[in-house]
Amino acid sequence: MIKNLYRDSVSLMQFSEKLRALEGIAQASAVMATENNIGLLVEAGLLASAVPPSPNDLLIVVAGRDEASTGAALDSAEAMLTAKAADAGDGGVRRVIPRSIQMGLESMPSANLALISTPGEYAAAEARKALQFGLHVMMFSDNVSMEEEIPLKQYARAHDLFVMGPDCGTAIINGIPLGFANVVRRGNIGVVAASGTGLQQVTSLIDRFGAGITQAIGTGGHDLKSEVGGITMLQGIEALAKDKATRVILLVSKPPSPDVMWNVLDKASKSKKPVVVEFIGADPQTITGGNIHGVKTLEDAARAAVLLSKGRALKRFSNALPAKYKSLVKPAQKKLKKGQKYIRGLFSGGTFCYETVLLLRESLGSVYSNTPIKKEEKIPDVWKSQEHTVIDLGDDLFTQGRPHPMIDFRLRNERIVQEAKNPETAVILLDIVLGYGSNMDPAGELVPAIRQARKIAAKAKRTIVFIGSVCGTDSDPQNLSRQEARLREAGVILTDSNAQAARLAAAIVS
Amino acid sequence: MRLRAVSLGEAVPRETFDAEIQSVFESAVNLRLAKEDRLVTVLISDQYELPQGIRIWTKDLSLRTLTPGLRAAARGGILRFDSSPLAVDLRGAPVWKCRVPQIAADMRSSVVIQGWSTAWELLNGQQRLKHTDIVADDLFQLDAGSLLYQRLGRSILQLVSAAEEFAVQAATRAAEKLIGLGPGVTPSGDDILIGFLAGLWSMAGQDPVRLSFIHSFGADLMQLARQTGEISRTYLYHAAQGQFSSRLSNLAEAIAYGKHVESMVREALRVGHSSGMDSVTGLLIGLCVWNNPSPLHPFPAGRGDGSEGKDHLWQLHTV
Repeated sequence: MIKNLYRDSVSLMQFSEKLRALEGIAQASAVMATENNIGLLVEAGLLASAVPPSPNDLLIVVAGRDEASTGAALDSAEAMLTAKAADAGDGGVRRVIPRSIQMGLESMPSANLALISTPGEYAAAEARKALQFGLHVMMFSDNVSMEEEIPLKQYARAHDLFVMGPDCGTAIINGIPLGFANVVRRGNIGVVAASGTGLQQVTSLIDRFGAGITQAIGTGGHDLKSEVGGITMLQGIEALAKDKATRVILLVSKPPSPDVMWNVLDKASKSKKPVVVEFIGADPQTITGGNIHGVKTLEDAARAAVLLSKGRALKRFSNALPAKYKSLVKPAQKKLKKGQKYIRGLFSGGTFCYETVLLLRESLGSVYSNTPIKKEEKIPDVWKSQEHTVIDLGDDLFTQGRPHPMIDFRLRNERIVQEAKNPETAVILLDIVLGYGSNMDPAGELVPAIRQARKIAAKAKRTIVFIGSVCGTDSDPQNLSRQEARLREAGVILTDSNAQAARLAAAIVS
Repeated sequence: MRLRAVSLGEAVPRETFDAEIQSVFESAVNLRLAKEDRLVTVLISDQYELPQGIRIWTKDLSLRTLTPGLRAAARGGILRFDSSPLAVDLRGAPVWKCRVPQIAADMRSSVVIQGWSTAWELLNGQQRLKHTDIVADDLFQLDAGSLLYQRLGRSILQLVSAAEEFAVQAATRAAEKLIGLGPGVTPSGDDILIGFLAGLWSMAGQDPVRLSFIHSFGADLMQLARQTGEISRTYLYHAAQGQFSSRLSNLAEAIAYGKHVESMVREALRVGHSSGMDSVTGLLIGLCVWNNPSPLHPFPAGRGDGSEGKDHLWQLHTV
């Protein structure tokens, strides 16, 4: 019996489990020494006779192979409960690092979201457990099949829960960045996105334009396919429509399957809030109507959302290069030799790559890529550029056995140097993504490679134009301003957005 | 470090009191009020309210810096602790009051039945998933399970029968077998009784017979509560007066009004390791006591008097 000792019930359960695991112990129990508990233990044969009740004290009972085992167990029980171990935050009961969702919930009972980041083959089972515990789920894991995704999302919807993902890289919930996400200010714009870097770009730009977000919900890349039916995006729209703090809703995705697109737009139109829709690659005019405002680029999406969030009227966004970048075109062109005529885009963000291909095609014609718009523009050898080439280095092909290029810059740096050796390279186009999850010093990683590329080109009496955009905010751990300053020092022309970088590059080689 | 109380439970003295630190947890500390047989609880939470609670909200504080046995005192609305720089400003904090006695749930309503069924299903699902000592569905399989199960099951059935007949003495005898029974700092039997009272209070409305039973049974329960620990005793003390934690009262309201049942069940289940589940078990059973002629009837035909047989298994009839 240990006097006046109070432990929370989770600790008591863990303590009993530890005792039961001791050598020679068959049963162990730690209960409050009440009359009824004592009676129960006597009836169960665990106490030889009743002891006087003492309801505020803890009664520890062990049954084991012999007296030596039980004696040792009681000694260690007392030691565990009365000694305060140096690393024990729970008064002698050592804190156990959660090894399961259930254990995690026990140590943090008010949690309502589980972030699943396991190899794909285990992710669905873990997500199912989390849902059964009543938790929303963010599945960072990829390689989860649609056959597994669909029932998870259906179960979640039936129980008023969200499954963000699979392959959901980014979300910001109640101001907390999850996965690869930026530190942006709170505001009145709610975002639902089927694209991780698309979500990062719009939330960062919203922050840059002086507004903020309520929630940024990731859906995962498969959500808007016919088979899944846009379950998470539809739930997201509904939740943001009900959310009093959200004034404007912003949707980002590649164009969904037509049936899903209809449902999404229908749901959006019923939200009674202004909804900005960026279905990257879709004609904005086919989307616009009523409270729905279709836009063409991620930057336009952020601008439109900010204007609407401040109660201002929407203007028509121009496709032309802004004046501040136009002045850079001729000086850059003058530096190029006659044979330098192609853009080489080396991207870490899939959506940045896709948006760039779309914008370059408008003025340059064919653009080769591993994520092409047309089949015939699929690059035959991803390791070797041809004509205008834009590569998504985050593609599975490049990430097998190595970290994502937002974290590990080695592959991109090697490719920068490789492109510098090519006499046809005029512009190297880059995205730089800041925020949690990303490399802590992208400029520090890139600048040596850029300098080496310049040296190689200079030896051949050429100059390469480096253009990029940094996706992030000053509140990100890497700090936007510091990163931009170091890249500018290295001669990189920086634009405010990925779309402007693509348009500037196109103008230079046109 | 001075923190402002976000809210105060109705039973918390406002200005001046003396106390001793009774127990300390990561995000809660219990204070034993001088010359009174009850506790008040300082808790860190963004929303969880207690009748005896002084709620503060901060992310950067562990209450483990406080030491059991040392003194605490409030003067002029500022609560201070011996040997600690922590102070809590109670002045101006809004008072939280549980609304369970005002609910007057109509258990014949299809909305309420639906809410109850949803809650029951979720409760059992969570209990099975977490492999807890008690699973509500199995509670009345009186010839099976552990000794604890059998004792709980029989005593609850006796309690239900007594409450149905407004027999205070019989109810008290049944409650005596539950007090302090089972695992946990607040033993399962206590949590079930607290939930059971929440169920009765939810249905009492202005019915004088029901209210009379609850008051008399509650008074007896406060006597019986001496047989259990101080923390349980405090909850039982407030339960007897119709005051419960916000998680339990929110769930009772959700079932009664048919709104947000699922999320409120989940909130209520997440208290402690099994305390939340035990008190929800009690609540849902309590809600079925005076429900005739509702189709909700979760009890076997026998009532722990030895007449129950294998045909009288736990049955749940819902519409």
